[in-house]
Amino acid sequence: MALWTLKGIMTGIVSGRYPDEPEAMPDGYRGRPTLHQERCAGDTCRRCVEVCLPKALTWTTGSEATELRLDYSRCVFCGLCEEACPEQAVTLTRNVELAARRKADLTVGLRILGNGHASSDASAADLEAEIESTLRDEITRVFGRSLHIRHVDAGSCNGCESELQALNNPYYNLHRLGIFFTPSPRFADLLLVTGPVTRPMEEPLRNAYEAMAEPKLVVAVGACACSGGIFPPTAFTLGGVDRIVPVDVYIPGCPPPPVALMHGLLVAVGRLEPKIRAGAVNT
Amino acid sequence: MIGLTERLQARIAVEWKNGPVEIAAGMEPEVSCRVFPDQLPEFCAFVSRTLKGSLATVVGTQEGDRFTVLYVFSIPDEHAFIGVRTSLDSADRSFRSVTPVLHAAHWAERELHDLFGVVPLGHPGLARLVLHPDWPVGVHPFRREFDRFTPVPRLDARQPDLGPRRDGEFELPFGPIRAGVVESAHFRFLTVGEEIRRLEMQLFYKHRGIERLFEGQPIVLCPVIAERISGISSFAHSLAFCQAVERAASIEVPVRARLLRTIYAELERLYNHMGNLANLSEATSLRVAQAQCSLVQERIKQLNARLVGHRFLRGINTVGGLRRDLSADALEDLLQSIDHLGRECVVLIDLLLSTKSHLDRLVGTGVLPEKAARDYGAVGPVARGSGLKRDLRYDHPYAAYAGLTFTVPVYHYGDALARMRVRMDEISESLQLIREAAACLEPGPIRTELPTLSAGQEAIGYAESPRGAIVTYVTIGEDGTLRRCKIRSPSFSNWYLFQTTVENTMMMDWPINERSFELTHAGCDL
Repeated sequence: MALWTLKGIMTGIVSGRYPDEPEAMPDGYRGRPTLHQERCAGDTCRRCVEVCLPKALTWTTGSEATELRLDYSRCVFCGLCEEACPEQAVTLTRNVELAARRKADLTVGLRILGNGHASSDASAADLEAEIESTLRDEITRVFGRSLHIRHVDAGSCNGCESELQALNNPYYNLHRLGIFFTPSPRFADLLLVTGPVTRPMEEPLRNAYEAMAEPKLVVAVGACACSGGIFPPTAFTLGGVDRIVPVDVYIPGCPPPPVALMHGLLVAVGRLEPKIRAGAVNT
Repeated sequence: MIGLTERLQARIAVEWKNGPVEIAAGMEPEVSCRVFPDQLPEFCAFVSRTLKGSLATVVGTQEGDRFTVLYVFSIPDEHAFIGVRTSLDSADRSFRSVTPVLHAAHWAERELHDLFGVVPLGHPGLARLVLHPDWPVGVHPFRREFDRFTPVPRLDARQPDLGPRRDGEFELPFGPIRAGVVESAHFRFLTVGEEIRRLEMQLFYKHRGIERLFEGQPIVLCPVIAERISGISSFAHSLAFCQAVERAASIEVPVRARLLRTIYAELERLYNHMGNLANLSEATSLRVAQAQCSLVQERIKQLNARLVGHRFLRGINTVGGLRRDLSADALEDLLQSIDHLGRECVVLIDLLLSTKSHLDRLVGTGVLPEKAARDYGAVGPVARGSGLKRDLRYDHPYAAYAGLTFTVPVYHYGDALARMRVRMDEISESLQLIREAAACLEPGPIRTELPTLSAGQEAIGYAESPRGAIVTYVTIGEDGTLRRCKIRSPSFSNWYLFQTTVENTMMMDWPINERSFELTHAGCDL
């Protein structure tokens, strides 16, 4: 035992300093895809849409415009669209901090034909943002200093679990931010859900949510939980957490790396601001 | 390889005397046999006992209203697989169960019964396995006619009672949402406080119907699904899938890609085994060891991200090879990191092996006797901790394993300590394999183009994941899509026999036993 103590002391401090210092993913990491309007060949090509398994990339042909839409809540960051595009109109960045309070913030559009630029419902977003800012102060007051999380696996591939467990390793050391995992939903402030919600997990998930005391937050982690990801609504899976319980924050990723998880949790309690708004990223 | 196949065919022709068998080269270079449904158990017993085969996977398929079941056996002595196939009568869809002569088929036949509604006659315990009690009777979700996009109504049904109790026994339910960040499963203990008298497991809470998700998808997109079967075995699953299609298409993967695949597969084993040592240390309350091992695990995940752009090695495998090459700088990074992390692993393993409080808790915990491991079809470190030398890398070399030297560690005690020692030895072997494979790397292509595939081509692919054998069966459909994919994961094989190691043990040993098996639910439930 003494040898372990010595080994521990000899190792020194290994923890990162996120969020005080940014933590960049390495070169070549598959993070948020971006669309480049000027390079896209238009709806004669559609190669990126054809290789998108979770249907994060879609074409919408309306009366006024044809639009290429990218939904980060569905994206599994496989990078096949980048490889398929002959014009490099889709490129992957290293950006992984994609947590958002509204799903609308996770969609970006390219208007290929017709007038105008990337669309999003701007007026509605502004109104919601106003309500949000008053609520956010209250959320931070209640949850900002200490947060207890109950995790529910609603049918994940266990990639998300592995990254959630990594949050407690010495490198990320989530405790330093005052955030803890707790065994009982009764003691929890935040319900953190992974997986597309399988049929047998629907009832346990609802029970866990109802067992929590108010006020409470729900965070959907990973593409499956945010939207179903590669799992469409079927007899086996229900297609995302927000079809069962209301979701406060979405953390896209497949799985979201620990940095993205920390960012999302801090967004949930109002200690950080989302970097993504209406599909655009503030850097 | 042809010689081996011919020898096996000759052995079957000479040694099998009980009836007609049609031998065909269906899954080259392996042997495919077709028998009548009423001879299936006898022939499977013959393959298992006389040819010393172990059951690798059981596949059900449906063409029109015709059902076929296929039992695939690994024959380590001959480095070959044998497929035993029988077509069922379309009216009663039944066949004689193999389970009475081969326990390893127990869960597989129950799975077939649930998903396809075929009936293994004489099966000793044909209760539901995959489908929960609230799923309607007579609805079989893997039948062609089942519309998987329509929700299925729920029955008002609960799990059956554990049955009569003796003095002081009570039922302790545990799950599906359990303490900590763990996967969902429901365990019911019949206990008198500390001693576990019985364990009933209700798994398959995470059944996502992932095999059906493959159906009709273009083959280029299928590795994306395969990577999401079990996150911490992403690479092994995508490798098994890609190798299956590569064999169906008879294409040769370039040497460089095969070496890189070996390196990535061993990196996956390294971070999983270090994670297992961390979990075991947590179970024995060795907090510093847990922190140290999980730190090494984190460093390996970070290395993965630098090498291929993903911490779980996703998005790198494709049918025909790899999607990204490894640059010279990245190779240098790999070698330096492996040197550094390898030294750290050795220090931690030595410390763990000299920590008496840790070892005392593992000795004699969760004992799996060799006979049970063999009969129930154990795979991976669980099998190797119980004296079975089973390792697909050695028995049926794939990727670049045939040209590399490594030993398969085997321990005979069958307890948690033996399983830990197997994993510790494998860590050293993996480090050595990575160095050796990296030394063999020569510049060259990393991908072979996939030719046009014709419908009906089938094959099996396999990979030894950190938890044991993954066997993936594929059939090609129309226009370069996939018709059927059957995944046999190591967790499915091992959960079945895990139960036998729990009964009449102590509750305080449960966490250690569970972690020493280290099974996943995503991989088992599919």
